[in-house]
Amino acid sequence: MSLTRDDGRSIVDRVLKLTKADECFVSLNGGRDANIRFARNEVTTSGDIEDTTLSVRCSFGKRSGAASVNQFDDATLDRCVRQAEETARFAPEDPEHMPVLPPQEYATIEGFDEATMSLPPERRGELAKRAIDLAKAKRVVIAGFFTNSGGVTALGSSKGLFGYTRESRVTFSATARTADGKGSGWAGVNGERWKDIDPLGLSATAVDKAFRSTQPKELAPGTFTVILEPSAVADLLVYMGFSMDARSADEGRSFFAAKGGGNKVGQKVLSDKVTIWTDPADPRAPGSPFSNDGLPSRKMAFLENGVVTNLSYSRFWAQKQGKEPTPQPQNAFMKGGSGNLDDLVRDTKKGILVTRLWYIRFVDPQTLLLTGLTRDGTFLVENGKVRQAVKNFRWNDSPIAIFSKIEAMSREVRARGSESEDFSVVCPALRTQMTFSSLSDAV
Amino acid sequence: MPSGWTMAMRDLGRRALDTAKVKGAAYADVRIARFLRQSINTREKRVMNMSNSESFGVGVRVLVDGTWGFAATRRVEATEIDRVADRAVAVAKANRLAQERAVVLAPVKAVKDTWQTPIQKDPFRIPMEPKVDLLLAINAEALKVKGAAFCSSSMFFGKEEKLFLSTEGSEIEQTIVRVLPGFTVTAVDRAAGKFKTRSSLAEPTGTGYEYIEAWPWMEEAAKAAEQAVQKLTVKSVAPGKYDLVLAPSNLWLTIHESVGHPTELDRALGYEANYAGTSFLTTDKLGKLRFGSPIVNFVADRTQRSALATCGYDDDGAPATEWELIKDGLFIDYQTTREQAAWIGRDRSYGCSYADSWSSVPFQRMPNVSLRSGRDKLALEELIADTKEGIFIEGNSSYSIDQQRYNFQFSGELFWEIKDGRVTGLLEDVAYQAITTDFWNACDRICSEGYALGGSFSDGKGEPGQINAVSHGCAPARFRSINVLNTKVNSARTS
Repeated sequence: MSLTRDDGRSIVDRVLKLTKADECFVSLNGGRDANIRFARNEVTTSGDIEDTTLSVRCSFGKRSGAASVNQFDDATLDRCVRQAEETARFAPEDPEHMPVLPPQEYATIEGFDEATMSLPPERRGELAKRAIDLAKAKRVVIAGFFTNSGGVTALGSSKGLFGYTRESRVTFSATARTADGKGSGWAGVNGERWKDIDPLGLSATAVDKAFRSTQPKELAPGTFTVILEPSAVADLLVYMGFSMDARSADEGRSFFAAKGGGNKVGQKVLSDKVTIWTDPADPRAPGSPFSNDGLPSRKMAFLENGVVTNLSYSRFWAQKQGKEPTPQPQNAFMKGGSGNLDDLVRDTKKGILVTRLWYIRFVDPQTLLLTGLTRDGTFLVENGKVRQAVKNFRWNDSPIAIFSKIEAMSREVRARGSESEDFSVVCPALRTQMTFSSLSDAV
Repeated sequence: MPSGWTMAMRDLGRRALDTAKVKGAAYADVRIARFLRQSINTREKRVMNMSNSESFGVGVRVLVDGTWGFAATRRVEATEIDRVADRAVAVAKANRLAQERAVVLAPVKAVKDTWQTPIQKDPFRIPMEPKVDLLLAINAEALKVKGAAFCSSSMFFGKEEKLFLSTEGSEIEQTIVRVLPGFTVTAVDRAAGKFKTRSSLAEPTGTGYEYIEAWPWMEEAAKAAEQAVQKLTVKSVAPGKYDLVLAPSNLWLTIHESVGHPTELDRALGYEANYAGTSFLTTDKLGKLRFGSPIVNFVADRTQRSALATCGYDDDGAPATEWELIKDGLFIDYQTTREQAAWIGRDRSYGCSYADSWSSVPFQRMPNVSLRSGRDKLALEELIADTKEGIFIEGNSSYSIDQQRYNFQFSGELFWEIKDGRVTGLLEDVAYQAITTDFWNACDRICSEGYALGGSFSDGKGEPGQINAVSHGCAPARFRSINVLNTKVNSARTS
């Protein structure tokens, strides 16, 4: 099964002893990953995989090279180190070379559950069967996916740094479609402990939405009041997060670049209601205690009350700009309001309720204009009630515009985006404005 | 370039099959594979990353009472092989309780064969130095142009060495090589707070390093830099209906999304409903739906030279082949695997099974899907001369399509305004939006020359997500009266 702390240290030490490089950074990542897939009311494929990857980065002065393998016998480790060293010798000097980190202090984060990692195939089979039985009883067709995984990440450097952490992960999602293919509903979640999730409840939500999404009304495209469920908000949040790199902003090639030079840190770019941060230690979505480069993870706000408070700084760019380097965000939190999704619906005179977004792509990185579609449950809300399904839309809009027009928010909850399903997000449902540019017949 | 699988490895493979059979599998196959990757990334005068990776392991797939089971491990040794074969059977047995219809595999001939991508120069045998020199020279060439602020460039190489054995007696060795070069120039106007990019029109291919040696990098880098700077000030498109002339460097992606994906049989039947989606091309439309105009013909082909999805055999052990999907505008066929052939009453697989790693379960992936060139003699220049008011689009950038493949929106790298049969200059902020069948029925002319391959190195599908490399060929073609948006305006539909 997964490597123990001592196993991890032993492999890291073996690599560090093998290298003749001035500096060396080693990382190990892997474990067990199991899954089951179902569709058309039966199981389709499944898997149970064990794998661990070792990555080695060697430097001579400012010349670096990297190699990775997944075999840990002496000959393979030696070959891996020699390949990284040989690459480094051929590499030109890197003016942005940063030395490997010395020992760091890492927090202990509880994000591992042995039972989740070790769940046997029989439990996955039963779980799929329960979702399928529910679908059959309701005479709909269900497709879904369940994964349980667990593993370790270990880091080490030639300056004595060592880090080790274990994580487990569980995900479940289901899409129910009516037998005639005219209605489709989805629900999904991710987490750290399989006992924390409710596959049957999620399947029931998907089935309910499938029934309710038949016979959609065709609305003319335009700008609408929308209620975005947390899954849709999570995707927009993550797409905006992709663009929060300080260097790109300082170089003038990002939405977060300030006109005339510099970046938008300190500027108000969104509604007062928007506060976004990362916190690896928050038990609602625990993250790793360290980044890939060994920097300790920490709580950090990116936007507070609509004002940009931080961008992501690599170690090099931070040094050049006289800033603190920022560890890679392990998760994202967006501050919510009060009440739940139903409360948002109840307080809405007229709007479109969006279950999730799909096929999101950047159209214009300068304005963060994105395009995508609504999917698996798009409804008209009138006078506080979900009245009926509407046809899916293609939208062209920017998270900046959408997050600037927020009218109300629910409490924040754990959410799973459609295009960012592996990233842990805690966010509210929102009532805001969104621009739909055309209709789609897709169900 | 034989991968040289040893007898010991073959014996381990056979051991996995034997163990699976003893444990109760009616069918089993095993893939012992090594996946090699090399990447080099640079920006301006700096090499950001040079790395090699190697992933080795074994995946065992079994059928027990018509139910699949799969398990995989990185430890390719006797005791672990036994454990994994046993685990694959256990997974299949556990899944039986949620299986209704037994999996039936279309027959394939048992073969003992070796296949490799026909290449002239193995990219893994070319030293790092000339690769780095070329990338830094591209950056330097681009940055000579006034106003070009940044240039990043990269090369990525992949090699799959696979040994496939099945209980039906096949033993197939394959070595598949692919290359992915590219660069992006960025021009920045700090005072105006604007920036524009122009990426290379080079494509990923199923070739060796010879593709990279043949591409006119320096010429393209200089031109791309000039165009990136130009893009800062060119006219923004007026939204409306235009006749679009699409170059292969743009049209391949539209083919991929609007023809390649909807003709996947698993999508059509609902197997991908929870993730990538289903397809508007349901089986009742087979042989009946007017997909495109009568000049539109699409062929699927896993034997096409230099294409990314080309191989000797798929990961079911079925031979690579060529067949028609759309004939004279009519939708006539799907992409299939051994498991899928029977779903539509076919007795043979089209060989579309692929797994992106030894640790991934094989499933249906897209073959190379290409538009046949026009029969009547027609060059791009003549097509443009024949267009009154239109836009000629090269390269691709933003792309999005719904989960049933009806409604799509694509952009590009270069948008050339056509007025009265002449290219008058560049436009910006263009995206075209259409419904798949409207678009292909609006195709009125396809050039007879200028056929070229484009492709995706990492097309995603499935859960857990897997990637697939696939090419799409076409000649320039024209599409009448297509809806064009201005992406600077968060516009409602302009029609």
